Amino acid sequence: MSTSDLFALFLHFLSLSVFATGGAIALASDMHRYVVDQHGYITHTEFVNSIALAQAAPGPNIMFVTVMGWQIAGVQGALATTLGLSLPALIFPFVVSRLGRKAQFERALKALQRGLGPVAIGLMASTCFLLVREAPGVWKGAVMIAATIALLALTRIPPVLLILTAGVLGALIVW
Amino acid sequence: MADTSLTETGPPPRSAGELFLVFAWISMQSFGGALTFIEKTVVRDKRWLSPKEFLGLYAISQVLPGPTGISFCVLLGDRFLGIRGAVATVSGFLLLPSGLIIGIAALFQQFQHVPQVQGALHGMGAASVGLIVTTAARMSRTLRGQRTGIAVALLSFAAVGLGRLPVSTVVLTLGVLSVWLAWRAHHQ
Repeated sequence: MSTSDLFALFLHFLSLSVFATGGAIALASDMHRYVVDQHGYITHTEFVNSIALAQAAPGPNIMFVTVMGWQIAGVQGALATTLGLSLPALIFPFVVSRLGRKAQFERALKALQRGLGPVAIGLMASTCFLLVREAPGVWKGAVMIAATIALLALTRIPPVLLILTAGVLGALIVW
Repeated sequence: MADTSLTETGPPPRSAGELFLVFAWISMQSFGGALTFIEKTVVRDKRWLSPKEFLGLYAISQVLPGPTGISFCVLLGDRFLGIRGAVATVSGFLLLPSGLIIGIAALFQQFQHVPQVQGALHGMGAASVGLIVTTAARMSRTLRGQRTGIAVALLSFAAVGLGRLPVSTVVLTLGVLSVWLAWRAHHQ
C-alpha cells in the first residue's frame, strides 16, 4: 500500500471520527463502504473477522478498527485507522475543559446529545442491516445471530462467553 | 462496598504512573464497552470522581467527536495531572489491548486456511452481530414516544443503511437539522 493510500485511509477514519457519537461500531457500515466496497483492501469476511476478534478480546470497542487497519497494511495500517479515529478525542477534551462550563455550553451540550442520538441509532441500525444481510453460511449464521439475541434477552450470560461458545460451535460445524 | 453519596470523593490519583496502570487494568477487563468498567474503577473503587462528576464528564465525552471512552480518558487525566495525566490514561487504555489484539489477529491469520479456524471466526462473528443488534435495540428504546427522534433515526437508516450514503453527508444535513430542532425544542 502506498504512502498516499495510507494517508487517505487515515483521513477517511479521521473524517468518520467526528461523527462517532454513537460509538465506533455505528460507523462500521461506512467503513465497510470504504475499505471493502470502494477500495477492496480487505474482503467482507476479513471485515467481520476484525469485529469478531475485537469483541472476543479485552479492550475498548474501537479495537476492531485497529485489527481492520492491521489487516489492510500491517502496523502502519493499524496506526492509520486507530489514530485517525482517535485524534479528535485527543484534542477536543482539552479545548472544552478550558472553556469553562457556562450555561450556554450546557444547553448546546444537551441539544447535541438529543439531536445526534437518533442519528446514531439510525447508523447503528445500518451497521446491523449490513452485518445481518451478509451473515455467513446462508442460514447457519442467521440462526447463530438469532440464538445470541435470544440468549442475551432471556439470560444473564456474559456476552464474551456467548462469543467464545459460538467460536467453538463454529469450529465444529461445516459452514 | 463504601456507601458514597452523590458528591463525595476520595484522594486524587498520586502520579501519572498510577493513572497509566489503572487504565491499563480497566482496558484489560473491558469486554463489550469500557465505560461500565471505567465507572466501577474510577467512581466506586478509587473514588476519584463522585457519581455526579462522572455523569458530567460522561455526557461531555459522549458528545465530543471521537470515541467516547478515549474522550473520557483525556478529560479525566487532564483534570488531575494535565497533559501528562491525559497521556498516561490514554496510553494505558490503548497500548496493551491493541498489542494484544494484533497478536491475536496475527495468530488467527497464520491458521486462517484451517477450516476449523475459519469456522470459529464465522461463529464468533455471528455472535458479535447478535450482540450489536441487541445494543442497537437497547439504544432504540430511548426513542419511545419521541416522534421527531424516530423520524430522524429512520431517515438516518434509510440514507446510510439502504442508500449507502457517506456518514459525513448524513450528519452534516440530517444531524445538523436534528440538533437544531433539539435546541429549539429546549428553548421553548
